[in-house]
Amino acid sequence: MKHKNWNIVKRIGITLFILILCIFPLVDTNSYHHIILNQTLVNVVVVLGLNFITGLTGQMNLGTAGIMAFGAYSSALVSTKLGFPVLVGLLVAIVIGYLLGRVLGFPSLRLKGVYLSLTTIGFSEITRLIITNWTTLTGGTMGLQNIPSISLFGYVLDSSTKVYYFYLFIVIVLCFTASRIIKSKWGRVFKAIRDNIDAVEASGIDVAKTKILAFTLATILGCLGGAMYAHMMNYVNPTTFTQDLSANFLAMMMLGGIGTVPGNIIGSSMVTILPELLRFLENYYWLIFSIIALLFAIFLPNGIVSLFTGDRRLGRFWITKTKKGESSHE
Amino acid sequence: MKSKFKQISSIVLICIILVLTACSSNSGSTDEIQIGLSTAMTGNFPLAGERTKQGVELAVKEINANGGVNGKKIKLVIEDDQNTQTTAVNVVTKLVNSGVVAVIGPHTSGNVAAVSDIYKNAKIPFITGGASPKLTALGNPYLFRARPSDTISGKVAATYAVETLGAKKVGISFNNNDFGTGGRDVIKATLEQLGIPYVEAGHNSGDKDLTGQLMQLKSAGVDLIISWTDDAEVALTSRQLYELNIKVPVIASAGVVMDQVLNLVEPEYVENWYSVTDFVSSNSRQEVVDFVKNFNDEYGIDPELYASTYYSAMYVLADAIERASETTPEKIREALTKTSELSLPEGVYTADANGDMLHESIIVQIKSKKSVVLDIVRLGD
Amino acid sequence: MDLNVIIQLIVSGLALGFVYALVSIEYTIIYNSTGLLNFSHDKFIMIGAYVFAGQFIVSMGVEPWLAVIATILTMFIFGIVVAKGIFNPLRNMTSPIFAVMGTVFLGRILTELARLIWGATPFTVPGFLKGTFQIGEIVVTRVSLIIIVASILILAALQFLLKKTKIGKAMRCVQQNKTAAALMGINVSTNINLTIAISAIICAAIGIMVIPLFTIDLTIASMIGLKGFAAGVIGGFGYLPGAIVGGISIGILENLSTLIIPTLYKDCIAYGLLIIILLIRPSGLLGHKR
Repeated sequence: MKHKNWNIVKRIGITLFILILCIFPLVDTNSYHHIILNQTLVNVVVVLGLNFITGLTGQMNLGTAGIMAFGAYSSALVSTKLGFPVLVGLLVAIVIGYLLGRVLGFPSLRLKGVYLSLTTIGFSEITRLIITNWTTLTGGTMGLQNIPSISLFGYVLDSSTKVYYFYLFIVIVLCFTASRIIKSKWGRVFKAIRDNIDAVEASGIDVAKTKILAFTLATILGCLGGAMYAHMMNYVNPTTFTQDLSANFLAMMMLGGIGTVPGNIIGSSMVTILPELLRFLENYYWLIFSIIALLFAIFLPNGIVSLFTGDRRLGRFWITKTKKGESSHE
Repeated sequence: MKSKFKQISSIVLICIILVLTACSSNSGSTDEIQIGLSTAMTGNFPLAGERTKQGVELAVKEINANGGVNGKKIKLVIEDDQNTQTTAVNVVTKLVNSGVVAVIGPHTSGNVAAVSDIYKNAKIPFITGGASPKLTALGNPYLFRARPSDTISGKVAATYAVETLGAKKVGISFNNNDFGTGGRDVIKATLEQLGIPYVEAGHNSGDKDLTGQLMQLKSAGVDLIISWTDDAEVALTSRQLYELNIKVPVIASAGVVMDQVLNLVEPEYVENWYSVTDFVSSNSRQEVVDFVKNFNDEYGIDPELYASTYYSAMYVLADAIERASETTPEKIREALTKTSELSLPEGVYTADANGDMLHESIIVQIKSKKSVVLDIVRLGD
Repeated sequence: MDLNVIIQLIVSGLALGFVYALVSIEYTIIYNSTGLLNFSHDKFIMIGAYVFAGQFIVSMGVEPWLAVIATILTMFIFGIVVAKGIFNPLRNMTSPIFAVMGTVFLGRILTELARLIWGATPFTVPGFLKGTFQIGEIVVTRVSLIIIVASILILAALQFLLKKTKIGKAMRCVQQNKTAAALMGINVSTNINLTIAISAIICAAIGIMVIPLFTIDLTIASMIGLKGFAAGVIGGFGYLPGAIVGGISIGILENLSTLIIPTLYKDCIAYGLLIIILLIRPSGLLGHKR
């Protein structure tokens, strides 16, 4: 009975939340707030992807910046140099993401933990160096300018509000898809690989295929996010895609709560919006933001969602060692 | 029950923070003119941001002490852009929505390219110190430049190398960022025009060892090196050139004459180096002498390029606001385009059709870490 | 190709190679004892350089040798504090993500603190370890010799500590099996605190030695930090002699690469090598199995 009530409350909550998001730009017309929200939406897309590989499957991916750069540059180049419509660019970014997932997923079969995180760092750095230095193709450090805005069948999304609604639509669709995947058989296998890979193999599930699937989901969403970023900014520059950015995405995934869609949304919003809110601290705002994030990492490792759901719902892998004994009787 | 309370209280807390910050963006009163400043206080380039802020704040203080502009005080709105593209876009959008009539910054050319359209759509003029020639190609009527474009500095450097110093084969050591490649392109074009062969060796920002690059130039037998790079890298170039015994004349980009760069090197590393720059504190022009004195009184250090650029930029803006028939961004933009023969520490400002306002470069030579002014080159359009 | 040029490139690469080697050792010992990758290790190096140069030499005017000792003491205490406050809590969480996050944000906090305490102006210590030796056409800087000698000394001291002393033996026990070590009466947490403090001291040593090579600014160690990671893997992850081989190979190869590929792609060598090694020989050049 209680369970049923909770479900209804949840549905009403989600509907209300979406409604508020839809009405927001009509009430608040400050375009500064709009672009911050747009960035949050883009970040949610990337974090949803990262959540599959690092959050659920437990493979450390520190190359998100490189993945995003691939998406951003491929879509931007297709629409500027080749002159295709932006939607084709987004499609190309998704295809590139798919291929990238296959390529990057391959090392993840042989490498674990630290090795994989260092490989992905290497991938990301090489990507950045190449887009920095291949000036004839990418424009080098001056970046790619005049990237066209998205146009939907002739209707150009040239203001931050129009972009907002389109991206909000994409994000809502992706969020529902992602939470379906997490609850599906795939999602359970992902988590099983993270928690006990031997048991997964013993059950006759193809671990290699599953890992590559998780990686491909991550790179597709990462590239899509990158392309969305490029067409929102109308400009991309290699200095954006640094290790700092990759770390930021991990922070988004973690601060909200690993493995859950609401956690991803909360985390992305927090990391994107909180520094902007803290600007009144002037010289100290970045310090304060970093301290808040560090305190979260130590004292609330299961993220903000754990305040609402309690640690146990997140699966034993994420619970600290001391608590692991307690939860084993579940 | 207890956990419910916790949930509700945390939600309430978050709401309060949101509302508070939303309210904190107060609108300026009518007897103040709001000017925005987007600069890097944190991130990878914080020193430039600090000096920029000091320069602009000094200018504002002086202007307000002298009764303000048209009887109104100037109020600065300072935002940190971290020298990254995304943050620059955020703060510039924030600034243009906060009721400012004009903005100073961001500084680096890459970020200027990122925010250019925001200013254009908001129809708010901005002044930057980004020197890359490629900014002209943006064709933004709201963009004004308080420093000479590298089209000028690069050309002056290459011409000076060949015509005055008699170089027969030039080595170009450049930083592969927006600033370095912009300069390199101009230098290459000028050398090609003059029919002088050249070798180029690039490095990335943050490189810590240039042995490979410099040995390449040495093996190629160049008799002069033009170094177009940022502060930390120019210090590195000078040390390694000295250590590797590469004793050819060097012409460096503007940064090398700044005290903060000279403090990074031993005197013998940069002895007799030439530099094409726009500001040296040893300049004997009255504006420079006064500015150096005032800056020293305020902060206890000599001003340098960034401080002087943005100090001057603030005065250019004040001058335009004074001449504008009303204090609106559009009228200020029109007034800025008519800026003419305005003599400031950074140089004499005259706006041209591209929004470039400074058209002169100083050639200096470094003697015992002091810059000696050799020549001031003014280029007509 | 001129032989002198090649030798010069190798000589210059060697010094930087030893720096990479020290970096990879400094994070390897933390990894060995806690299983955490310290993503703020480059900021430790930065803090070391700032404490030495900014605090002791420039603000307090202390003699260099005394400043070195004072820096080492300061960094020892710093190491204990971050170990107790940050690494030990993070170690108890079973996912490495929390440790990555924790150390990344620790690094950002350290950067901001350094900026607020010592200011954003890059600076250097004039005349510190300055000078060159000329051997034929080849130039060797005094600082590279000092780096090479000091690195070898640090490595020898570390080996001695780990192999011959009681503390070192306890450290190796903790690396191998924490439960067994605890049962044998070793205080695991204290042991880990000590390891991290030693790592912080090595970071300080790196920070001090690179001052003549790099200018002291907030990003002084970003590049060597990342390449140090690569060096550790190339030699053989978690294995100290491997770290040295990896560091030196990167230092020399990336310098020699400028003879063949455009200089702008020099930095790709370290990461390219990292990926190739991981794919064809994950146990590293020395093939050490842990």
